[in-house]
Amino acid sequence: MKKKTAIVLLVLIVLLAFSSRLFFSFQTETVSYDAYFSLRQIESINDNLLPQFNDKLSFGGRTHLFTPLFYYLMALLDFIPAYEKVIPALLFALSVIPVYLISFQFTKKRDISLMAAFFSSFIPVAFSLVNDVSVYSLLLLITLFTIYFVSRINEEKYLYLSIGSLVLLVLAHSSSFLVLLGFLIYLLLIKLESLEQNSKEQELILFGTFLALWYNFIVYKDAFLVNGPLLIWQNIPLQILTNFYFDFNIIQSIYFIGIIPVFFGIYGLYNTTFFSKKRPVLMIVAFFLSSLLLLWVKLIPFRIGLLFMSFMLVLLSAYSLHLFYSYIKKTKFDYIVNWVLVGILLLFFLTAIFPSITIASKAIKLTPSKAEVDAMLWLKNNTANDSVVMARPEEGNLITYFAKRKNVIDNDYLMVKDAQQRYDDVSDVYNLRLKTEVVRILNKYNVNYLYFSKKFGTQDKLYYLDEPCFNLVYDKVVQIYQVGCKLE
Amino acid sequence: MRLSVVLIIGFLVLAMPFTLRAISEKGFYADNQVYYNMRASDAISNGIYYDQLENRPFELSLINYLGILTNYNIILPILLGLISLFILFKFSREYYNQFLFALIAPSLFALSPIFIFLFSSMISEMLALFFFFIWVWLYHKKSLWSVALLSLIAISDIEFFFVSLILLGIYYLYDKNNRLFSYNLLSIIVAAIFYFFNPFYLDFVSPSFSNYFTSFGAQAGVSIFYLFLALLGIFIFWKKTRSKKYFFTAFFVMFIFSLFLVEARIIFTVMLCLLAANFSVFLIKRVWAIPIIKRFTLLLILCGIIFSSALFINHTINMPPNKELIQGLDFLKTCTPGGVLSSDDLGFIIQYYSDHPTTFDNINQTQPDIFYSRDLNFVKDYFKKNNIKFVLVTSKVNQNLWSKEDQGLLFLLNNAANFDLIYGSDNLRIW
Repeated sequence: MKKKTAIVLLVLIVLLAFSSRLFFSFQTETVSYDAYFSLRQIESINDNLLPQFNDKLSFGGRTHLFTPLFYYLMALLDFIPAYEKVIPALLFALSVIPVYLISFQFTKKRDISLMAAFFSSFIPVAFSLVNDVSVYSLLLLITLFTIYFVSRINEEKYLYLSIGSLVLLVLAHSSSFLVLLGFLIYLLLIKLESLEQNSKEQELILFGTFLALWYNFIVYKDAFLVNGPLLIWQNIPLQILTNFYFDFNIIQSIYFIGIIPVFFGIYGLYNTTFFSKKRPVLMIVAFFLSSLLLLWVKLIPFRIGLLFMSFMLVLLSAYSLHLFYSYIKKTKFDYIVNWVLVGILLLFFLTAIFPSITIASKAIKLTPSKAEVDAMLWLKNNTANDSVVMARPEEGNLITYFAKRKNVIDNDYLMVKDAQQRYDDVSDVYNLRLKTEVVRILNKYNVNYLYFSKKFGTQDKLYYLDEPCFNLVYDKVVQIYQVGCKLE
Repeated sequence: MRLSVVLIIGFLVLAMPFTLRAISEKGFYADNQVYYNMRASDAISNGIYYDQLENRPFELSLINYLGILTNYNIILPILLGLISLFILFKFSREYYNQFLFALIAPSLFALSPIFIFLFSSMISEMLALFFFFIWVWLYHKKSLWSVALLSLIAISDIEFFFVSLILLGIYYLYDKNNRLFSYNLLSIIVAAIFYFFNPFYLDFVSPSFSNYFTSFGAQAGVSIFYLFLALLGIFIFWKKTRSKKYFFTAFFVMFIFSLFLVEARIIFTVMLCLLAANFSVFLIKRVWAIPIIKRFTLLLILCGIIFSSALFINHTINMPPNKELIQGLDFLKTCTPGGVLSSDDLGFIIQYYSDHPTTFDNINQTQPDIFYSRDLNFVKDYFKKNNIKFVLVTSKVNQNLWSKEDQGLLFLLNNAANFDLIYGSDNLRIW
């Protein structure tokens, strides 16, 4: 295949990936519940040039700790219409380019590299983030480019690009430790396989590790003191932790990644580990092991770990396809080799597209409805500025973003001392039948309004709700009650 | 000339907490234990050997006698710290035969949180570490004086002596022809005689992140950054000197003990500094394929070390007692005698400034039940049983124990008729 043709096809794949993500994303006007935290930060940067590290609304007033690079990037690009949907979709779509480049690096075959690029554009798990304003879209792109640059570190141009991308990666998010762990495993594999050590790689990885340690230490130093070792799990309450970092399940993982990348990826892993020992492929193996390890010990959210792992499997698939292609070429059936590739592509289409659509549809449903947004706007227009609104943790960011009111809990637990207690208390309010206990909890957090959307709970109504303690002040799909009682 | 740089670093690092505490009118020493030692020294110098406040005999540690002689002058810990750095320099230079290593190892130790913690206080561990350095040096020189030094360690701090004996035992496994080992064991007799007449407490702690790493709030803890550097140092050291099994055996054993014993953690930190220095020397001497990365990597390491030291110094400066607490305790001194309920980390400070006994201190650690109870009858019984007449709450204690003003005992203090607020300032309340 000619280079120009490959470039045209690659651009088409990028456009296809971009448009398919946008298609799902624009099925709803809103973004995911968690994304409203990002939107607040972006708005804050636009207004004051600084993110809201000191947040007066979240948890009734607290400090946030995060690396703000992604929010600055989003704030810079907010002139683009619907930037909150367009930019993450674009970043995900652009990930196809480094996948192509890395695949080409070890296959030297454009058609196979294009296949890998296509695989990566329709990984089902990536569609679960279709409505997120997620830093992982940026992190994934930089990670893949870093892998590509480091694999060509001996060329001077790529040396500086490697340094730049590694610095950017560390500044982007604390999950950069996943990448650094991957690089460290790579060095270990090189050592175990008795391959020649590349000094430039070693030095760059050492530098990246120290940079990540130092930078994250500066950013999260207060969280070390406040949350202690729970910082590793972002101080997430136990009940959520079991869902957020749930056990690694192979069948479920195959569904989220797609059977073709899993099958060919595992063969690539086997071949690299036991036979070929090619350096760039070993690097991919190391990254696969790094994400697998972090998933196994529950140090990374399930979806995110799977996302990184799936991209590594796609890259390993490219290597397997290359081996498969070369093998068939050597047999008497070499004339059908292209048809075999088309067959694999079709099989991928059948096995990955449908899960992608299902997962994307589910993601769309997990966005706030118009009724919820209306209820929030009602809160904004009809309640006192210092009111405290209790909702479920998933809805906390809606209260601060749309209603501009204090919430009792949301999904960012880092730096919150009583996160577990608050979570238990909020759960109790939505599950208890005993009015006095509910009023005691509501008084404890000075709650003025109780928000009930029925979206994150199983029950249709709250049993203790009656006047004069609870006045129904908003009654549509969503119900809002004003708390009128105090426990003396 | 270069050794002087190490000593200047050590001096600045130690002088800074003292100076800044003095400027902000805080007590010179930040550690709670120092205040017990000061009170013990006062009493012993007056011929009193029984502690009425603690209801037990005073601990007759060597540091208390030294305190009588020096009147807890801050020059002594600084001086001992600098001498320790000097010995570490001499030892590193002679043993490892590398000037660069000999400079980096004591510098790293000078910037380590444990050095700042020990030599900015007058506690027995500080004195024992100082003797430990001399003991190791003399033992290395095969001097019989090492027996005397080990005996001094024994009468300074029994846990330190225990840890030193373990190290000695490990060394003996690798150097069985050493007669000096047998002589050093004589110090056990000294220890036995000394502790026969004096009570002592083996202070084992349960391992946890929060009392092991300084980043998580530990005082005598290990810096994560140092640990990381040291782990990398192991790879380098391992490759070059596979025969030095003694160091690695001792390192591993000290790591295990460091989880339970502060004294082992102190020696473990010294070992970490040696390994980290080894790694630093490797980085400096290595021929780098990317020179620009060399500068940045070394700069990052330097920044990481300085940053962790600065954080710990800041932590030390902000520790109690501050002016407000001292004034409150001066007021308490004028009140009728009676026990004081407060957090254990203020126990000895309260005793020293107010002459009142406390329910919790370093030995009798805080029991959370009483602080979280809203049962007035239970609280009244508990107060009566423990002869508690005062409750002292600083803003830090408040923050550590309760998240709301109406929580547990705080609710009763604010609402029950049985409690009167007798002293209140911005960050301190006494009921």
